[in-house]
Amino acid sequence: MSLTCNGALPPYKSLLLLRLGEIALKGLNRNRFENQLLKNLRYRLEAEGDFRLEKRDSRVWIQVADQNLDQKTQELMLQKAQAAAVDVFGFVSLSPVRQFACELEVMELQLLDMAKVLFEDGEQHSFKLEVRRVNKKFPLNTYELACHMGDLILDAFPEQASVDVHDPEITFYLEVRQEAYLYHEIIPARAGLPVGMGGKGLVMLSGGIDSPVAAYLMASRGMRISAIYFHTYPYTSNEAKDKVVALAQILTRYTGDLDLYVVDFTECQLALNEHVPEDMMTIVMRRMMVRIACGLARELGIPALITGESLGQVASQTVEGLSCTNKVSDRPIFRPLIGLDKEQIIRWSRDIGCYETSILPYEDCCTVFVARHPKTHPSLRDAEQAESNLKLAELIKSAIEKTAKISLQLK
Amino acid sequence: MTAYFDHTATGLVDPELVDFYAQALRDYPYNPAANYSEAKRGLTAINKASEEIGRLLGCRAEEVIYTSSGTESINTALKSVGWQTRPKAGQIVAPLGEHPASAETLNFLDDKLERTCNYVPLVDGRPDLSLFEESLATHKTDLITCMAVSNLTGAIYPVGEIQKLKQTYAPQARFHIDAVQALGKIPISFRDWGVDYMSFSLHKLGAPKGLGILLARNNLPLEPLLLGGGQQGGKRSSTENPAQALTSAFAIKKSLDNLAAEEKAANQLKDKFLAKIDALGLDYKKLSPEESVPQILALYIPGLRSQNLQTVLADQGLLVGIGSACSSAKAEVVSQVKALGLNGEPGYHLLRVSFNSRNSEAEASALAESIYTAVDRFGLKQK
Repeated sequence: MSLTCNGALPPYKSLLLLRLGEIALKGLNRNRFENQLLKNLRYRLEAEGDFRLEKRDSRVWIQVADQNLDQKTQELMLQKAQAAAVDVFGFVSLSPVRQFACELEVMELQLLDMAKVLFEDGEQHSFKLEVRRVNKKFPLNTYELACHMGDLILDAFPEQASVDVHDPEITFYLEVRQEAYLYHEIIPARAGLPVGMGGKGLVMLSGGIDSPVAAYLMASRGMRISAIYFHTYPYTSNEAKDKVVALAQILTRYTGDLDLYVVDFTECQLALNEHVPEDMMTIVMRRMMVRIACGLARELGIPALITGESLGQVASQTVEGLSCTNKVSDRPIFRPLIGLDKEQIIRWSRDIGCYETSILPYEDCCTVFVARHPKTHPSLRDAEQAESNLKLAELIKSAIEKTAKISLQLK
Repeated sequence: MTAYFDHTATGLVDPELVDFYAQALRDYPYNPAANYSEAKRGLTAINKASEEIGRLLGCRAEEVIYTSSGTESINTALKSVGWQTRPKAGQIVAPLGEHPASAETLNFLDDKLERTCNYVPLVDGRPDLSLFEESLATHKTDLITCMAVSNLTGAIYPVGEIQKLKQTYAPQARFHIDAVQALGKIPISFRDWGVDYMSFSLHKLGAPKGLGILLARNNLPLEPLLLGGGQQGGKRSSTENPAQALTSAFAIKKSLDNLAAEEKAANQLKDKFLAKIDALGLDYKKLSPEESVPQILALYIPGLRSQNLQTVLADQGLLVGIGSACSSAKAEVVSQVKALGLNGEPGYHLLRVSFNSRNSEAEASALAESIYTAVDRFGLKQK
């Protein structure tokens, strides 16, 4: 059945629709949140081309700035924008959309054109139509329009198409406003809150699986992340350091630009090795690192630390061990993984693209310093006693002075 | 500025050999197995090279087989005998701590071909001859394999004595020598040593990597590792490379001509190095026994793991070898190091320094100082 009089598809504008998540719930703060979100989105899109962004209700619309470019080019550009936008915290989903004139015949042609691609595999597909009719001047009402369009598809693909209003394979979304909008994909994004609205956090980054995931999760709550890594030359290899830099670089996709602070921990480690009993080494190391991280955080005006600790994973991560660590911190330590299974953490790690890098075999801590039988339930007194011969203030000050900053930018 | 002390891992590329190889590639561009005379020139060149190698190493031209590496040569010899002597089911004897090319092949023979492999412990870095004798005297033996010079410590193994034991107790057994580290360091004669197989690797002499040799006694049928076009008398199928044969002969000649001079230079450098670390008061133990080639020196340095020491040295442009890496998913002391009696933590403390005439005394001295300084700075005090 042919509906076209002259065979040509009426022109349509390609757009990308982004849906806001939790922000929609914010009351008086909403503008600030939305502005931060747009700022982040704009920054993310800079590398992908020239786009025009428009904020309307709980949605952001992206179109190619130069509307004179041909359809194919615009669609390719929007695909790149889509890949970038999906990683911007604050959006719950995205859809590639066609915008066209609000006329029935145009709608019919656009729908058939969109459906043609989906049915070209020759297989059977169930579908439904969801119509939103905001424009009350449009002649057909919601129900009439849905039925009309549904029939159109059934007639065009009689062997393949069937209607299923409960659990269809394909859903066509048609919005009737001043213009008409048509799409069929709702692509999940990463939700969360825009980076910049959640204060600042300093993540203690190691080359492992956990800490990058912790950084990601806090960034998803809108925290602007900086990172600190403790390098113990020559016990930890340059490859281990490169691995951490690589992980931090991957995180910039989600966190935006990130400063990584690399602390020269060697002097501390040697002092610890000389004065601290073997079974308390791990706990005292953690406490030293937290003290140094707090010192750095104080200088940078960062009010919270973040770690990838999870309860019970290793000896230092018992309640007592974590408690000993907390005692030396003058600011909250956020541990978003504290209640997660290793399997879940690995799933996150894969999802954010860090897993393959995290499992590279370059250790961040030379095994020569790991006790065979570390104390798993250390008391605070045990820790303080183990540290009694250390010149803490000097070591901390020296370590902070010997810290190098690597500024990583979103590529 | 780099000072290279890891010649045991690979020899510094000799530009003369590279140029020679490149030219030979141009001079003999065709497949030597092709029928036209231009191609057969290549075969003639290879035969000439084999004759030269025969003169240099004391074997017949037909006994020279060109392979890709020492590893391939070793695999060929051991798998061939391991397979052929299966019905007789005699034991295979080797010292503990052979190079992985041998050790892994023996593991394969043990696992997959159900051979029995028995290993003779080392004493002071060399195979215990009395235990060797006991093993040969009390078991039927089909194959013996051992290094002539250890790649880890430079120890010169008692090949002559083992050969005598073999003649007495197991005259029917085959004897393979891993001569990879021996070439250019000690005099070698296939004929005089009376062994059946010898494996060599040319990149240790500064020749291009990818060149190996297997000497295989003529009257013994060889079960080839590579099957295909039947080149090299069916013993090693693969398109022959005249450039390889010619360069191998050239490299071997050079190394034998320079043997005495290299030994002298290495001795001077080694003495200078040891004198310096002694003067500085470094805490170490020499792992290389008295009967070792001067080109390879293995030290046990308790203060700092050799992998970490290697990092510090490399950052200063000083390149050395180590026994066993401690960082990897399953850090474990490798069996070669264990065979020296270094297990657990000590297994990560073997440093291997190689000396060559291209090193200067100043470099050797600088290396000694840097090692001392690194251990002093980063060494962990024993509690």
